[in-house]
Amino acid sequence: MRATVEMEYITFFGIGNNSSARLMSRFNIHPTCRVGELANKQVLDLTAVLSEMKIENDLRREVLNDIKRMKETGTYRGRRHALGLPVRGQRTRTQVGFPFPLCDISACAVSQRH
Amino acid sequence: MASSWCWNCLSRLRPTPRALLPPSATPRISSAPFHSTAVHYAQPAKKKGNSLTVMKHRQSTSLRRKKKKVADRGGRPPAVGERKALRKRIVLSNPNALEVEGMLDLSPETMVDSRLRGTVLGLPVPMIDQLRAVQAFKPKQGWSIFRRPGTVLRRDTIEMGRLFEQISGEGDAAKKGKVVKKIVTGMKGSGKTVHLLQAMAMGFMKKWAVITIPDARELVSGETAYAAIEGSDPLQYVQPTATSALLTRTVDANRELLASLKVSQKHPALKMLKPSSTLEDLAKLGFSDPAVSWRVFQALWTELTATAPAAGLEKDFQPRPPMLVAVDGLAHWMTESAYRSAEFKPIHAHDLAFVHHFLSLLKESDSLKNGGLLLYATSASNNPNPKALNIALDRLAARQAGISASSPEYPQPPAYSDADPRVLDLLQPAEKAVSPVELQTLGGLTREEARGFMEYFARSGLLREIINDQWVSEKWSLSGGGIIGELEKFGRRLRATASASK
Repeated sequence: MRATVEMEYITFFGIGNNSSARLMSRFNIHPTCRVGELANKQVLDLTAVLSEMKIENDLRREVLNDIKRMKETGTYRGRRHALGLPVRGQRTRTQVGFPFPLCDISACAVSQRH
Repeated sequence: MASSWCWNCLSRLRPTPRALLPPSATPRISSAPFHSTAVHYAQPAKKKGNSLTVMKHRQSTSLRRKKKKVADRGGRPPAVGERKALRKRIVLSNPNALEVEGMLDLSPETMVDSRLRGTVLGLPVPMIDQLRAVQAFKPKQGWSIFRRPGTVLRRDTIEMGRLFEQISGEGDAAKKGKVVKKIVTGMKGSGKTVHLLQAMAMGFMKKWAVITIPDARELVSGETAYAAIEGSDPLQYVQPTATSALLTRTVDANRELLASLKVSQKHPALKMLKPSSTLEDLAKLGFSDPAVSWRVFQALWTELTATAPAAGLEKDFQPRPPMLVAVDGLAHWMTESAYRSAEFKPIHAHDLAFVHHFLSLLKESDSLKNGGLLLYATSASNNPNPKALNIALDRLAARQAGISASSPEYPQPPAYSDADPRVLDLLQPAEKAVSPVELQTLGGLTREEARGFMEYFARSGLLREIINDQWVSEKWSLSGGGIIGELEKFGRRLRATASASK
């Protein structure tokens, strides 16, 4: 395969530049290594570590669960998530695209129910 | 009082010349109201849209541009490695250039002949393959404009030729079997890499073992595989693929020599080796299997530096020849490499076993037991410019000029600068320095040498100028005092202008 190992791992949800580089240095894989050049042992090691990490669907589920929990407990962040408004204290007076047209009554009703 | 009539509109009242107007489908209106456009000039009315158009929310209103479609050029994209091969291609001959009559070849006689100083000597044709094997030629050098490759015999070359003779044991016997260690520096275009090439050519002529590292950067830039050596302290790393490539280079270039030498030491780590095998066979073990290449390289090195055979292997022992070790781009080895340890800390270049091996040759007093020459060149164009190396080289120059280490003039790293102590320590002389490292700074050619060089351009048909002292003197000054790379540009540039003026 022509893809470098680094690029291959970045395609996983939950592994970015930094984790990919750390993972590779842990098993002495050089930055421009191709997937086809990996030794069998290195492949097994990497698979073992990846299977322990929380990536892809597990991680997605965790994030969604976190949001759900916040909504259920009625925290400020949960409410903001429910309204689809900025969660981290950003300005909303300007520069925020509204989540729904203000004239749309049904959308308002849905957001208030949450 | 000004008239309230608009003169422009009044003109409308006049009958329009019918013949000049395009025929129109709309019925003509004979009288036009004031301040309105004539019907046949009017824009077609816009279609009225649905008044209940839904406003688009959450869409940016910024300028939207149409993306240009990339034209399909047709054909397939270049194959893997094709573009790199083209980039790295080395052309050594130009059939359109004139053959220089009476051009001598570099030979053991001509390379030390001071009467030939300033002439361009051709590289012997059978040797070119060897020089290619050790990657002595670089793509951006101007080999492709001449009929055949040749180099100028300058002062430094003749001195080096004499050094080769002395170490080989001809003439001055005092230096026989000695190690000479040199770091070659100089301005950009001053001929450092070609100096190494000349050294390699001389090494091949004198039947030395020639080992080269054509680009020091490749070992530290994270492009080849690496693996930790278990149990080494401090932890060192091998680079199996790079070692394999080095072995291939070495065997290709020194095939004749290595095939004539037999294994004379015991190598318990290499079980597949027979006592009767040659050094070529030994080196070939490391080609196919990068896993053992480092051990094979170490075995080859012990063989080449052996002074006496091990017990039981005396039968075929032949004395080993001197060695030439040439490294280009030394500065890349003086910083942290692009590799990282398992703890994600950058690995210092000195912790790579390959690099460490070649740098320790500078430090050890009798690193090449059968004598030889270590030439480590810096590069001015591809230079990471490590502070510590610059200081270490300044110190080397100061020591050569007779300034003692305790003198206030002795170069010191600036206060609070983080000059790398490992690098500073590397070029520090040992207490009993038998063969200290020398600093060789390549400068410009002399006027006479420059004249010989420019005449070579003229005789190759590349330069249409009458070469006299005045012209040469002018170009010598313009090239920063005979910097050979700049002089070459004059030769090429004039070729371009000559062809344009035709």
